[in-house]
Amino acid sequence: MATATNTDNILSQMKKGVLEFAILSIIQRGEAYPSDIASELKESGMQVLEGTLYPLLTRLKNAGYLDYRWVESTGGPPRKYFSMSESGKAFYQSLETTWQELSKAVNTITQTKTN
Amino acid sequence: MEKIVQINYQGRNISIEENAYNDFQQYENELKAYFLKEVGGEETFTDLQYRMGEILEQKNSSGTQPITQADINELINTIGKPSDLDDEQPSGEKYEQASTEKKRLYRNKYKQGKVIAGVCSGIANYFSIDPIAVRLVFVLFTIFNIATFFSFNLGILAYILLWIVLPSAYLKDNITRKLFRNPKDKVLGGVCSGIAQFFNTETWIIRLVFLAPFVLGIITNNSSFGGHDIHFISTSFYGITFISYLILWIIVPIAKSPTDFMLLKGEPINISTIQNPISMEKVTQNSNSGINKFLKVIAYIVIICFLLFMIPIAFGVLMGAFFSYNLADIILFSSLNKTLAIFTILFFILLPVVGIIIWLIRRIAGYTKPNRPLRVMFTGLNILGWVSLVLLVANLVKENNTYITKPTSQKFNVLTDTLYIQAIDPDSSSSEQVIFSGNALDQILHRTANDNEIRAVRIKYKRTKDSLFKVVIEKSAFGSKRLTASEHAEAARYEYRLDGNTLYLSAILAVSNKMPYHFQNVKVTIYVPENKAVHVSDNFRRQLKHSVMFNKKNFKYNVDDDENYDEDILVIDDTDEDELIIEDDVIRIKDQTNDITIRSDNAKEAKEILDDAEREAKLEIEAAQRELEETNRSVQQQLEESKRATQERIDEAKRKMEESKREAKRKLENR
Repeated sequence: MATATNTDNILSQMKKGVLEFAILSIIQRGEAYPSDIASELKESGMQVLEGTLYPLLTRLKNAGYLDYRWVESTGGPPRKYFSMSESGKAFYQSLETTWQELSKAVNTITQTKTN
Repeated sequence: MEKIVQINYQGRNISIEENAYNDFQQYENELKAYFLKEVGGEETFTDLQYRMGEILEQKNSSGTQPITQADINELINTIGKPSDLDDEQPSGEKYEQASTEKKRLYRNKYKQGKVIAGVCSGIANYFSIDPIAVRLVFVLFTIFNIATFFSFNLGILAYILLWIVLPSAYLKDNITRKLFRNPKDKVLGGVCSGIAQFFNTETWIIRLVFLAPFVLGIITNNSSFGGHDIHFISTSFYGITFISYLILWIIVPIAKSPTDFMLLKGEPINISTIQNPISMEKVTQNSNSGINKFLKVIAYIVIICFLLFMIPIAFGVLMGAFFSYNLADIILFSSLNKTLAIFTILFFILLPVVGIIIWLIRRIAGYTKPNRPLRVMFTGLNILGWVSLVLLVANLVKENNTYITKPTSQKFNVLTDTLYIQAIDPDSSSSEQVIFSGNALDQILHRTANDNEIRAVRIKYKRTKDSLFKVVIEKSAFGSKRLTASEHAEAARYEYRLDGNTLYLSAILAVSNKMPYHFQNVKVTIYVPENKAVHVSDNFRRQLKHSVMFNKKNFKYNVDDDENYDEDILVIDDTDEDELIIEDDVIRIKDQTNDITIRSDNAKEAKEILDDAEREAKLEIEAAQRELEETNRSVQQQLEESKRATQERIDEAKRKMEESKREAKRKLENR
């Protein structure tokens, strides 16, 4: 039981870190609407529930990495669009560097193992 | 055929099947419970609500079909069930960590959690109790404070002070207990047993607390209970628990789901309990944007201000009704009329006030859905109030539509130049103090074994050219027709007697208590001859102070209106009987507004000028007449004098002739 929870934890930790990086990389390309982010992630093969996406965005926003503004929408109240703040850009840079290093290292390790 | 409901969600109009809507509401509540556990979760939840509204609208507009349960399931799959989210998201900052360190008083910053400035919500959070309870205490305190001290309000003052002093913070919904009515053990509405569960006590203890004032009141008031049924409500102590019970019955929701019962008993609730599909509760949804919320708060403030003005007025009206109850009692007389009057007071006056208060409390408590049975009940009772009012007025008007005045006049032969007026009744020592006490109107009526003694006597003074004092006593009354009105007037007994140069008058009119009071009243007019005076004893003047006058057009009540009173009583009007109508007009107008008083002053002035001119003319005529008489008299005198002189001369001549005759005779005899 304890091991199962632990495994779950490790898996979700891993997913979560990558998910935040993916979200930030979508937003750094330009202002984005949460459900558009969700569908883009889906298309790329990363299944994510909007119920997971939204709290992540709120947390990133509260941490100061994201800004948001209200954009008029057709036939409804204004929509909340997210964009990258200055500190968000710096954070994204460091995330990207880490990701590059990690993926290279992980690739090397996993390939060595199979070979 | 599935029932379709139209809802407004997040500012969007959505048509949805009822079952689907129930599913959706349940899902929304689960989401809310899940997100509110997390720091900043409130905002996430609001964003998700917006998103759900968007999805629903899209589904709605893609076809003409309303939203079905399948659509809702699809929505749930897009957003995710709380149980799914929990797996993916283990490391959100939970409130438990944040809130353990800061056990201090804050104002609640969350829009959803507060009504005005989050003071009540903050206090509730501090004590971990239901914010409704704190708000209720504030509102009730404010209302009762207004009712008792008009000048300043502790409730509002405290609120503003706390608003300024307390720092604000995002406070987690930390209620572990919530008051519900208990449907499993109820006598009326389950209020008492709900409270008992809430405080972990026995139900009978709470019932006793609610019932005790009733029982006490009935025991202590038993003797006068039948005759004074209105006191039943007015005696505030046992009225309060009764009204509190009603208010609690209305605003406290009934426990329906297992969650409700757990909240009521203070048992801990975890996510699995909330997610449990047994949960059947339908919590009202929050379908408002920021602007709506702002407007709502403005509306609350307006309503509260309105109440602050209305409640004292309503209180005043009711107090007036209660204090004049003795008088009302003899006017209404029949039990039918009394019942109608009580219904009018309860359902026409009191009910709307209670209705507004309940509505406001429900708003504060966050119940936005109209309570249909309550509304039907209120409307029905209010209609009953209207009907009672109309019937009562119709009854009273039917019995009192003709006004008759019956004069009886008496001339007095008072030998001295001054008529003394004394009180016939012994002085009531309390009358001076009563002026300042609230129930001065009670002084108007005194009940004896067979009679109602009413202070409805008015004294007027007028000048007359007659040489004798004259007193005219006019009894007036209302009736259904002239005959009955004059019978009513006759039935009123008024006592007065003359003793030497003193006129004893009464300030009281006695009417049999076997019949209703038909506004019988007496006007005593004392006609004072010129150059004679009236002296009124202080005693009698004091007795007249508490008097009430009715006439065809107005209702006049003298209490402590000293100036007006002195003017009426002491100034002897400088008018002739012929000018009585003008005089009446002046008197009637004088008691109204200021500028009309000026008009009456003008009339008075004009009359004075007129009177002066008349007096001068009279004096001239009198002088001329006197001169004429003088001349006549002198002429007469002269005539008489010359007549007498002539007569004397004739007499002299006669005497001489007689003498000469006698002498001639003597001479003749001597010869």
